[in-house]
Amino acid sequence: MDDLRALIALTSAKVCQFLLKTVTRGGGTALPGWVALTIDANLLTKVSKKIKHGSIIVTGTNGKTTTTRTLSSILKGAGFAVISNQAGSNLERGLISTASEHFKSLQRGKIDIAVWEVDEGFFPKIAPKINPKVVVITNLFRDQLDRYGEIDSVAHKWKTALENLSDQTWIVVNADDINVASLVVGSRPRTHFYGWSRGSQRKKALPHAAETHLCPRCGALLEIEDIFLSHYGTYYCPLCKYKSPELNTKIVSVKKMKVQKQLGNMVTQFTLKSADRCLNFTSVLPGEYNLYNLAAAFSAATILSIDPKIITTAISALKPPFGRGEIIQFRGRVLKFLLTKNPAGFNEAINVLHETKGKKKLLLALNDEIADGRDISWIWDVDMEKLANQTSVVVISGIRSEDLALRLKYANFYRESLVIEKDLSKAFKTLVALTKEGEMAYIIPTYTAMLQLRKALANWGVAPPIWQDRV
Amino acid sequence: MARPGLELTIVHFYPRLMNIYGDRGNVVALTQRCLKRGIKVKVTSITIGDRLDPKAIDIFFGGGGQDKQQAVVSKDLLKQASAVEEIVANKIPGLIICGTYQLFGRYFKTTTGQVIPGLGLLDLYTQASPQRKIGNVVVKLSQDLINLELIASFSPYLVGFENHSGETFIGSTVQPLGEVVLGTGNNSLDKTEGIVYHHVVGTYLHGPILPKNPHLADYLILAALMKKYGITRLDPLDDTEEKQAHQAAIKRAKQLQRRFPFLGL
Repeated sequence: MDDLRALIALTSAKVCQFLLKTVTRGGGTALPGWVALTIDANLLTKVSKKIKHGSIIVTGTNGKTTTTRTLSSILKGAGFAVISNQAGSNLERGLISTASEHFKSLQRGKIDIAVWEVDEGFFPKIAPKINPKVVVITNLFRDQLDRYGEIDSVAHKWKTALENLSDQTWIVVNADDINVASLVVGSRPRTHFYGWSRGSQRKKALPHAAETHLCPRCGALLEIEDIFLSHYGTYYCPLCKYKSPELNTKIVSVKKMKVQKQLGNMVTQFTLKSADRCLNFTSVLPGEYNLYNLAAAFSAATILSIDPKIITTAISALKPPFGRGEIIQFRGRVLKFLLTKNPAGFNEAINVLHETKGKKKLLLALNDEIADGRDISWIWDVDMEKLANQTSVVVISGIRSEDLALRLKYANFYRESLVIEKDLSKAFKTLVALTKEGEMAYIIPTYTAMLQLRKALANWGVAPPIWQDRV
Repeated sequence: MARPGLELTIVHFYPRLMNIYGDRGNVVALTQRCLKRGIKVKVTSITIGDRLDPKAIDIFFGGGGQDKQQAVVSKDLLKQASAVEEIVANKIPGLIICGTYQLFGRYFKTTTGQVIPGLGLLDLYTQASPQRKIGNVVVKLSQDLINLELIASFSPYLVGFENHSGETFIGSTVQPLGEVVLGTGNNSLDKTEGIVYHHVVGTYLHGPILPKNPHLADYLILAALMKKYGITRLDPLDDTEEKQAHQAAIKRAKQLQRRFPFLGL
């Protein structure tokens, strides 16, 4: 860094990181960045200019971490020197903390690409500072309404932010999510749409958590053509004839298979088709949302002309990121983490549970810290009723245990199967005690509850610390 | 109250357009609390273009929504103002939340001074404000309600979560639902929250409001049974989980208030 102020800022961050690691055994993913930004507020712009081939931003409500990790993995497989904020610290200070970890390499101009996961609320502010080569938008669901306000206001801020980006920036966007597809349709040349192959006629029903959509052009009520997953689908306007965009990358031939040797048992075989390539994949990431996340990473990699073989290898070698389908073994029990933050994510976790037969053992943990969202009413938009007959044990934990217990009562869960244990470590041990050796159990926590649990597991030496979670 | 053959029809106004903040949980609570008492329940809904039948409603419910959706609903509901007027005049019980609550008032004034007419069925008006009121709310119910046995036997309070920028001012012909103990409520000037008029309850409380405040749900159910069948008493239910959630939420609201007073949370 030729700039003295930037140099001091990043050095301070480095010192801070060192202290945190030695003194507290902590991860240092946010504080160092905050320190650096206080010294030099323009740091992100300066750092971005030092990256040889530019930066990629991944934003959206759900799927950011999985998409970011997949894309980083692909680019590393292609031989690029990549930096990425993989520990999920996706505000500006998180990005700077990551940059300061690679201080020397950045100074010597040895970093090729940055893949940044960016918080959806901060995307408008951060994007112009980075001036990215590619922006990936995964989706926009109702999430933490108390923090972000209405979906429409987030969408509006994104639209303005996207319009102010350079024409050279590629936008990779989920065509099946009307909330984000409508932000870019027809407005710029470098757009790449990914989604479920049209004509597959899945005709699923809209879940309760989905709003009725209004035409982005004329405001009339949209008609649904087909629903693939949650509110992902194709729409058209009977008034002004607005239609869902055509796909550049299609998800086709999806097949779920049970594989005995595989921990967690399920793999998904699918094909991604774009103009010049058609690749088959096998993935261990759970659920169908992840197909969209993989398609997003595939699309970005295709735009960057990455060799198809490298993409296939990277995706097939993927292990689920922390808390998102991650599997941990504890005293012979197999525990799968399914992080949830909003109705869409929880409904997806329920779909994952339905993939295998038999009654499940669960630990549900609901917190309402700022990072989780203070307003927990979203649990009533989750189709909990679908789980009522699918569980034999539910351990209820977290700060808002009582609200969760009430929700399950109204969802007609058997009272005898519910155990309330507010303390997360105790709740975890209870789940283990109620699970046999060799059996699988699921942990469905909100964000801060997941962090607390993983920290406890790391302290017991059962899982690596979150901040070590790298590709 | 153990009469067989009881049935109530709950009509949900615009469930797909006004369904933000988990408000559908209120319909779930009403339904379940009826079923557990052997009362059959039919849940129907209306959407844009449908016509309300005032004779076929025992309880009505309208939730909160985003601005765009609220505007669309507003246009449609105004077309049936006389049907809604008949429902309210007939003392049919209903719960209206946030955007729907505002809609039943005289008007809504935007920040640019534009006046959007409401249904004019409740003596109140709403003024848009730049300040968003977000956070946990604890309300002490008005004395008239606390005097009711089914309310007093559970709790004199309501607990919920608000998220609105509108400031609602109520007139003298409606009663407030209660007095704000924690949070903002109708507006940042007086300490009122919500309204009660005939058996229509309007409020800014999400949460959703009824699961953690089952006494309010029972108030609506009993009003419906009284109107339809002349029933005057409701069998109590085992509200252990409801009580625990109610008290835990109040405790948490107080705890958070102490933690971040400057953030208003």
